[in-house]
Amino acid sequence: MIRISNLSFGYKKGNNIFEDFSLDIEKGKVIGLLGKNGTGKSTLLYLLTGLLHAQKGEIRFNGTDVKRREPNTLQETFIVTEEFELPNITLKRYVDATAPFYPRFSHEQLKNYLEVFEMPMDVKLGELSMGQKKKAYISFALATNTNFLVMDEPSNGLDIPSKSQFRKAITMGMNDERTVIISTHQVRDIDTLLDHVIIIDDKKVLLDASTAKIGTTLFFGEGEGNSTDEGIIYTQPSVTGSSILRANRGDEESNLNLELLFNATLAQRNEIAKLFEK
Amino acid sequence: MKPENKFSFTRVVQLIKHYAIVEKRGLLLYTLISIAALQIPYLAAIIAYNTAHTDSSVRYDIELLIMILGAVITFILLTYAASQLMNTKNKESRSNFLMLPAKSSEKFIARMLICTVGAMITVAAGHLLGICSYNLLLTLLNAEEYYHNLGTQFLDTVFSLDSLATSIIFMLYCLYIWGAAYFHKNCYARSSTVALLTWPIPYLTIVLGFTSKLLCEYDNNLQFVRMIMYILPFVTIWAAWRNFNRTQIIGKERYMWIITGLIVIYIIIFGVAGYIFNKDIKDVKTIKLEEERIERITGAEFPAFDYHKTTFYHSGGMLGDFTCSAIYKFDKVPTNEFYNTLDSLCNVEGSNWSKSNNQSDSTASAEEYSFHIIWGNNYPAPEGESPEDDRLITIEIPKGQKEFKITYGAW
Repeated sequence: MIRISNLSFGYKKGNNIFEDFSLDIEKGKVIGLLGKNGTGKSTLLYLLTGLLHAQKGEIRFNGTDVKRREPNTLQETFIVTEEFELPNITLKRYVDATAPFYPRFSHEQLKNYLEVFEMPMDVKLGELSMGQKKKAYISFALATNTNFLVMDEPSNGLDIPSKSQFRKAITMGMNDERTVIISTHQVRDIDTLLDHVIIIDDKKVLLDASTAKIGTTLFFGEGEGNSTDEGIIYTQPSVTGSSILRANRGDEESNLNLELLFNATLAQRNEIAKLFEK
Repeated sequence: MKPENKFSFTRVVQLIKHYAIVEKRGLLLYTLISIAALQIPYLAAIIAYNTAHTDSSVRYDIELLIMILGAVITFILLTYAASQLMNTKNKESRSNFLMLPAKSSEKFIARMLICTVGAMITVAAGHLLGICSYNLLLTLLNAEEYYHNLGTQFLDTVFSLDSLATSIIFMLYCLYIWGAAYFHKNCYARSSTVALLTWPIPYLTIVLGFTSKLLCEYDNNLQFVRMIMYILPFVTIWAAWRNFNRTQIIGKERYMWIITGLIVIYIIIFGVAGYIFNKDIKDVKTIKLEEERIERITGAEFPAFDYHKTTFYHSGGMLGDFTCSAIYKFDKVPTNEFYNTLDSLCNVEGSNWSKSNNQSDSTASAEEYSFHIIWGNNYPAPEGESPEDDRLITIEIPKGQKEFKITYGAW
């Protein structure tokens, strides 16, 4: 669906954020994009949606270069940025003005998503709190039914009940044709949603794997104190003692711990890479 | 090409509608501030004349100062007004705009229509209101109307197809608005800089007050200059389009007010330069016709007289038309011999002299001698004058008084 080929990009000369970066993104997945601060998560999202132009390489959405910003590509793409702006008009007016640009926009679905978020339809956007604006914006984004939905820190600013509502709304909005990329540091908010994980650091992709593959390749466990078990790739302190990550010895089941996976990937990148190459 | 990727005027209309709904606050502010800004020239015109008309030796200086000040204030206000139109001022708004599913060309044309047609409507509304407030202020302040029909003059200038300077001002303003929407970084700085580098001659022409010999005359040798200036807008549109296509989400607007300030200084410098170097303006405005020239044209021998003061000046736009009235003073009240000469000339057919009795005005002389002649534009020129010049002279001499009036102009 989306192919990134030999991408190089930097805001300043001689200081590239991405260098010869390549990645394929499949359709029908909820993808978590993880990385440390400043590694270029938001930049990658902007590049994917054509808001930034790479200096080298290209990004193609269904074969079309996203840099061209063709209407058929834009109709299939929606980005919920971390900081966004909504005009000081009613939601209804906003929908009247913007929905016509999205051929598959569904008013019915918008109503359903607003219900999930417990938001009324007749609101004035300028009078909403940040969290409420975000819920309205996410509802609109999902209702556009674009095949490519990108979200940068979507759960920031959402209260605890809203995070659960967010997960429900994303699940409602998913189908086999739609790809959702969520870039976030709030991994606990989305770990149950994800089908695929991409971790980036130092201009490279450190991990690009489905959660199913991660589950069969790695084992996430809890131990007491410092475990000396061979095969442990990474440990970190936890409430129960230590969280451990090791290679899966064969059909072992464990719950995906995104935080542990992230830290381990950054700390033991070569080992992790070897495991996923097998 | 996929059908949805073809250019669509429906989408252009949708974009304009989207803009009008989403940016209505910005549109309203732009309209109100622009209209307010366009009242400044009319106010400046009233202040300029009524401040300085008593002493013509400094009158031109004060008028120019007030008009430049008025132009600068108007420019700053219009600049600020244009900034309210920007729906791409920050990263968030640029994201919204760039991600709208429409072709770049559709967004560009929608923007162009808002900037040009929208600006034309606002300018027209501003000028119409200005005419009304100008006439109202004249009445309220009991001020003298120096610039006859100033309002219609402005309208003629604004909407005249041949008004080169006005069309260029308008294109510059539109470029300014475009640039702020479409440049990647430093939007205002870049668009203003492009305007400065591309349009130095128009800036020069504008601040010389439309009377510059450089571009005002219908001189075939300068037609190529006019042609280049008409081509320049298309070059600018091409440059704006090129930059729009390269617009990205990241880009700060810096130096807006610094660049605006530099343009203002630029205008002032050229205004001052125009004052210093444009002899024609000074000559016209101080209109001192020589005694020998008056006698040659009128065919009458005048007693010694001298220029006293200019009482009226009007410039009619880019073609160099002007009319200037001045009071002259005889050294002494003329003798009967002079008036007898004028009586004789009044009786000569084709002398252009006439005599009238002014019975209604008890304060004026009962009799007044008038001389009126025009030449050029196929009218024969009097002796010693060139038929290439289109000129008019009217002389009004009240009998028994030292002061008389000469009106001299180009038509």
